[in-house]
Amino acid sequence: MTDCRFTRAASLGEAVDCLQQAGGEAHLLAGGIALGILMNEKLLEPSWLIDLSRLEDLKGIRLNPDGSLRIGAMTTHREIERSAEIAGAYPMLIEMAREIACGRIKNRGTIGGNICLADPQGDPPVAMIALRATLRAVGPSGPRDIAATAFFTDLYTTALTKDELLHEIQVPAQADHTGAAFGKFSARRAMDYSSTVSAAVRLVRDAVSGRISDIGIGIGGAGLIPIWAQATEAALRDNRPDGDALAAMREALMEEIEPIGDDLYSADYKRHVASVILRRTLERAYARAAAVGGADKP
Amino acid sequence: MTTIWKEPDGEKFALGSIEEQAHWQKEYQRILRAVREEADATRPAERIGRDSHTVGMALPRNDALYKVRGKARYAANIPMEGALFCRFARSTEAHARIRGIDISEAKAMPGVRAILTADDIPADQLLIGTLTDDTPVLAKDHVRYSGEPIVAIAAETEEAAEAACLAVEIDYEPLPMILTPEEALAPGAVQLDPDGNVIGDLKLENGDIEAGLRAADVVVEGSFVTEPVDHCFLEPPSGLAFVDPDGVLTVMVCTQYPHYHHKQIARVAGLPMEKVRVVQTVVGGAFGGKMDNTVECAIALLVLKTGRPVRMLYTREEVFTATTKRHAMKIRQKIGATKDGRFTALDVEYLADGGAYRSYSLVVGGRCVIHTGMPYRFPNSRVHYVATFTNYPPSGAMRSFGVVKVAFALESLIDELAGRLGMSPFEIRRINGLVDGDKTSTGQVIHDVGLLKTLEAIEPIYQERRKALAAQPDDGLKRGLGIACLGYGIGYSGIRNPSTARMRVTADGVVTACCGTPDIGTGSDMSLAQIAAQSSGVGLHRVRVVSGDSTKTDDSGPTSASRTTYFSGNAAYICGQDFKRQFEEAVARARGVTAAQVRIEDDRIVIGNERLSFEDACRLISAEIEDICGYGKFDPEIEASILTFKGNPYPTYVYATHLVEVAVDAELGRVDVLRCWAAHDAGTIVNPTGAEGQVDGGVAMGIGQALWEKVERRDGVILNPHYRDYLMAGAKDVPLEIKSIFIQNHDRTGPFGAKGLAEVSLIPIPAAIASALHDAVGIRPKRLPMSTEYLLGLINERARAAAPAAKAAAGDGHD
Ligand SMILES: Cc1cc2nc3c(=O)[nH]c(=O)nc-3n(C[C@H](O)[C@H](O)[C@H](O)COP(=O)(O)OP(=O)(O)OC[C@H]3O[C@@H](n4cnc5c(N)ncnc54)[C@H](O)[C@@H]3O)c2cc1C
Repeated sequence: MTDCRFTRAASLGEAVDCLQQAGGEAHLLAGGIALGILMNEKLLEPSWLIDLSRLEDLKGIRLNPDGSLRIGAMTTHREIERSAEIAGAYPMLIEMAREIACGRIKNRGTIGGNICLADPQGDPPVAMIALRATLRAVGPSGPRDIAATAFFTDLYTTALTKDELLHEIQVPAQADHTGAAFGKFSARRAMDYSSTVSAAVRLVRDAVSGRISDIGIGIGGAGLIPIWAQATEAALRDNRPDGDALAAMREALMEEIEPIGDDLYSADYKRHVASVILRRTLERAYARAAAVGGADKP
Repeated sequence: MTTIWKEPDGEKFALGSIEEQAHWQKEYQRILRAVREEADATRPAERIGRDSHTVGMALPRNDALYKVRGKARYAANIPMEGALFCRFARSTEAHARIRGIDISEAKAMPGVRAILTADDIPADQLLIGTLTDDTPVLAKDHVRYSGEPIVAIAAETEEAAEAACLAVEIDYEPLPMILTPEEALAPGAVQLDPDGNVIGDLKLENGDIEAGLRAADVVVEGSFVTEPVDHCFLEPPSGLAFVDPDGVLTVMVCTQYPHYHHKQIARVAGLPMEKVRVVQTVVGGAFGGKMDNTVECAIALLVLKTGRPVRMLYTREEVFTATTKRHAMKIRQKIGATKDGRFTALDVEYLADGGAYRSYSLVVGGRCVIHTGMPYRFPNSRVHYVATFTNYPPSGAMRSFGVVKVAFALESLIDELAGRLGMSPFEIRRINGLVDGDKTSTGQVIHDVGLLKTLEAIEPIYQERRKALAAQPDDGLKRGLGIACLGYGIGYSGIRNPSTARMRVTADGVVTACCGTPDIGTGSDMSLAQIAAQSSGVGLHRVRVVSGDSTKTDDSGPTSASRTTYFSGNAAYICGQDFKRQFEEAVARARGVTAAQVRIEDDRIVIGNERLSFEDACRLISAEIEDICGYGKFDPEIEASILTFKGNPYPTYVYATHLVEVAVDAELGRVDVLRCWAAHDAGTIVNPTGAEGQVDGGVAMGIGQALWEKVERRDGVILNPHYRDYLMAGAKDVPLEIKSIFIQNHDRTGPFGAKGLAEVSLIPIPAAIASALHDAVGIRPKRLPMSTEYLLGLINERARAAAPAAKAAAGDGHD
């Protein structure tokens, strides 16, 4: 076993300094769930761990007066699930957090750690893609905003540079007549993280025509990265979610996702599941948009 | 200075110390009552445990409090100064000749204290096993599965032992692999064992199968495939060994059968029997997976080699890759019946993957053969069972010894047959189900058969749920009901397997009952204490059961085959009677009255009109109290050779009917098991709390094995050796409503009428789920696990097949 340096960062600045000093050799420690597994399985032997748990800057959920939402990177899944602010304004995020693993992991796992891990099965990444969130990074030269849709670049790889960390997640205020929903498939109900497929949908429904005027879709568990389903969004935009539009949606989705067959399910089955889950989630989001009307928030 | 190593103080857990837990019991009783809203049929809580008449009372288990408080002594937690840690360097090849083992680098590594290879063990002491000694403690020149132990290393820390294992260089000459039984049987196949590739080839025929098939109006058949399954005990194999101050090699280990290890260790280490002691630690789940050698022999040998205590704890990956598994099995089966629903013929072939060594393959085979067709009358039957070696971890014993698969195939076909005959699933089982006086396929005449009573208990619930489902508003899910039955023999198959018990008492009134079969987490110590107390007349609170210590109890076989309540319970019963007689005689002598004038009754001693407390009576006879030693041996005559399968293989049988309700998402193939009712004839229920726990556990395990569990194997390698990718049922997958219904069918040969329960609650579940799936969406699954993708495939296939039929306005396609 190699020795591992451990720094409990006292400030955001110190954390960034350490990252810079380490020149890419340090690992940020959030909830430690993913890191712990990698270390236990000896897939990772970090030489320097930088603990983020004391950084107040990275904590907290805030609903801004303009209706936008700020979630600190160190916010746990449980805090999200239980947040009254989020429940009122972004019920889709509650649905998302509820679906994550089990109590122990929700209590410890952070949304920042989850997003930065960039696991293709991860739930928060696809939710943030659908919500068009902005991920605010901090590095030696200050803050940098990265769109969630551009954050996931490759398998377990993000747009962060090696001396940047994720500071917070900013979710824009939602337009009137917005509905959003989160859907997930797992064969087993109790904690299943191996072969899940998930879909996050946010849409704006034109109150008069019933057409979808704006839409965001994220798909999880259907490729190497959390997928921003742009063509699928396009197939639905300016349409009502029925007949032809759903057929076009399915066709576009099949082009955009690239699930990998594994020991549990074939790639074809995952394709089928993704299209079913997306359709059901879309229907829910659409129904919600109708229900909220103009004045309420999604 | 020399360290003296001895067994740490403290009990395995609070054996029989009911009083200590009285407060907690009250709470527990209240909770139980509140939850079930049951009238208080039992006695007041403060009286619990002071009675001797407790058989049938719902008592909290005597280990529960210690477990929830984290005080239970698992092998890995036992502190021991100066203990070394052992790890195995394991084969990375599934089949190879070992050309050479180079341990020089490992030897030089820091912290390494001893390295053991097969060369350190005399050839005639190297092989161990269950029925046949065929498994090397450490592989010598030949490895037969990836994960087989080759080198054992003891070091100061786990990390040092592990690092040294990685430094061992093994030179392999790979050999062709045998990955399936079909390959093993192919002409010209490489031979894995000196005796060839076949572990067992078993046959049983009754009547005339061809005539039976000719007499049938309807014949249904199917090929069933099941995958290997892991026991998923949460506590991996673990143990701690040391030499005690008397020079006895003591091995503390989580096991189902301490006496087995005792004998094996003595032989492998070349020690006389009295220089070995095996003490069972608290077992964190076993399910048949803790009856073979894992850590025991290696740590024992390393203690002798180093003079230091040695401990070992398998990793989860080792559990998956190097402990026994449930057999992967292919089953081809055909059953025939007349128009009025009478079975005429049963024709079954099994092909089982036995893995690299024999383990319990023959036992599984024998049990599967005998249980084929259970619990029904088949006038004509033919059963053929073949198990072969392959280059995967040995297949061994697991809850029900294969019968869960026998039932999956048979019950599925019976359900299909009932459908074809337009008969209810209850009716067909009633017509053919075993009753008192019937003969089984081995010619045994059976008694106290409660099968039909379990069917009767379930049928009204089924009817009621039918109505409820018809009224269920549409939520996009398809719901269905399914039943399945079982009959299961208690104890070893066709081999005598006696149990014994001994009871003594101290001058201050503590009664010790030494019972030969250990409690492996089922609560059997509690049940045995109840039986011993009631039989002898002493209060339950004063009975301490001692079990699981190979030097304090007789070899009474393992805790397996659902045999403890019946075999050891009967021994405890006989022993209790003997103890009572001796105690009464001693009191009579002390008082100068005749023995007939003295009675132990409900923890008091009645002498004519006088009543003495038990303690006072003990004081009265203190001069000879040490001479009192109750002894009970239960050894029913059973015999049925594995060659002829004729005779009485088991002293009694248990029966059950399960009903499950499922909801199916037909667009995805996803299944939820919503409700389950389990009606059991397990004889008298000694402790309903324990019995319900067994049923809940069996149902949960059954759901996992029905829907998800599968050890994924390819090219000699196990691909999912962790719970991330091996999915068993979790808390959210188990129905909120599991209702145990015990029909209390008194067995004339059981202790207070008890039979047994443990394994059987698992057996009907996969079959019942399969039948419920047919009810819900019209499919007939024939694979375990029934994965969502497999089920969706069947659903789609059926839709395609039904489409043209629907156009032709034909029937609904349900078979
Ligand atoms: C059994 C199990 C089930 C699970 N089920 C689900 C599920 O259903 N859905 C789901 O979405 N997830 C699931 N997860 C994943 C879990 O939610 C994430 O692993 C967890 O959220 C990771 O968060 P963490 O805070 O523990 O991160 P850590 O393990 O501490 O870190 C993860 C990675 O992110 C990096 N990192 C952490 N914080 C930052 C930061 N602020 N800036 C830059 N880099 C950072 C770390 O360096 C590391 O590389 C499951 C995990 C397990 C073990």
